[in-house]
Amino acid sequence: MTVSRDIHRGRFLLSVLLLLAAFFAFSSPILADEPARAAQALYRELKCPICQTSLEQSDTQVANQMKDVIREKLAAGETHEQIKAYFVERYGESILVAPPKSGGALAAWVVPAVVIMAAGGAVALVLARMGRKPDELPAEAITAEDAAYRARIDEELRLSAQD
Amino acid sequence: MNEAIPAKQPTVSVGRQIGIIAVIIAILSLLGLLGYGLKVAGPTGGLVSVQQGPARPFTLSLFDGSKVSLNDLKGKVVVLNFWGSWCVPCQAEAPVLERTARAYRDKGVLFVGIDTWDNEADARAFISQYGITYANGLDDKGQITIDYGVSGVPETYFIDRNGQVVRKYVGPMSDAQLTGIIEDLLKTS
Repeated sequence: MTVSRDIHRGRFLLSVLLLLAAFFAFSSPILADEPARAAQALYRELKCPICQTSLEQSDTQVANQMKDVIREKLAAGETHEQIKAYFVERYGESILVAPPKSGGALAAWVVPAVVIMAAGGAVALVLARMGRKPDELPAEAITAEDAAYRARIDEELRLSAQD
Repeated sequence: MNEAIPAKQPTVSVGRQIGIIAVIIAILSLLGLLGYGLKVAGPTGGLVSVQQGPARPFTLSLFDGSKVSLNDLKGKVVVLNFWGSWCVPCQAEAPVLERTARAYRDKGVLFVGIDTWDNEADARAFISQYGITYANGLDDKGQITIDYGVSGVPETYFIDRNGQVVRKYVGPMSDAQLTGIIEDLLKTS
């Protein structure tokens, strides 16, 4: 009875140990890759101040020095946003690959959309007018004044035909 | 007999009015975007606006084997020049810096040259060629260069007697420009 319970307990402990071993075996490469992934994300968002391409695309001395600083700061426990703020404070917003979605920089995101919508609206309006037949003109387009003009023209034509 | 038909007053349809407003909005938006782009790009040369505040501390190993620390220079006007031996404008500026450094050495003005994105052998040859006598060292890891937000050489930062960064000059300076800024700082700080 006691032996059987011990065997069960042993199996249970063995299962737990195997599960833990499997967890660490699979998760350790992911954990080890985490700083590299965090660094890579910053390389994509920050520019080399000289060549103006992203750090990810640049292999210049200044870009590599910036990458070193990023890795050091990540190792020291600084967050993604803290590291970005560090570079923006020193170089200004021009160090960012994409402008921030706040403040005056928001214009860089909104303006293209506004311009595209305005241009699209204008084109749609012109196309709609070009494809419209005269008798499809909306009723409000023919005003009372227009009607009076038409009546007068008809009258003039009738009189000239009689002459 | 025929009455003159009065000229019909031109009317602007609602659709056209909306179109005109849309075009005005688009133009104003583009002008705003252009303004933002110019603000972010900043000036490309000369005396540029600088975020005034305490100069970021650093310690630089000099080519002569000694070290200089910014904290030790409090009470002096410091001219911090970032340069590289490969940089042609730096070559043009080198005699100006050396002349001015000598002229103001005994007037409480200290020049520090920070060689960046360079190698030591070329830097030493440069110093020897231009007879540079003021403190100079290689920022081999680029930490000081990045900490000051340097995006090209030559760039010169002026630090007042209280340790505050008060001016920044992008590009090579003439004798008159350099002495003008130093004189201004000596008067005000």
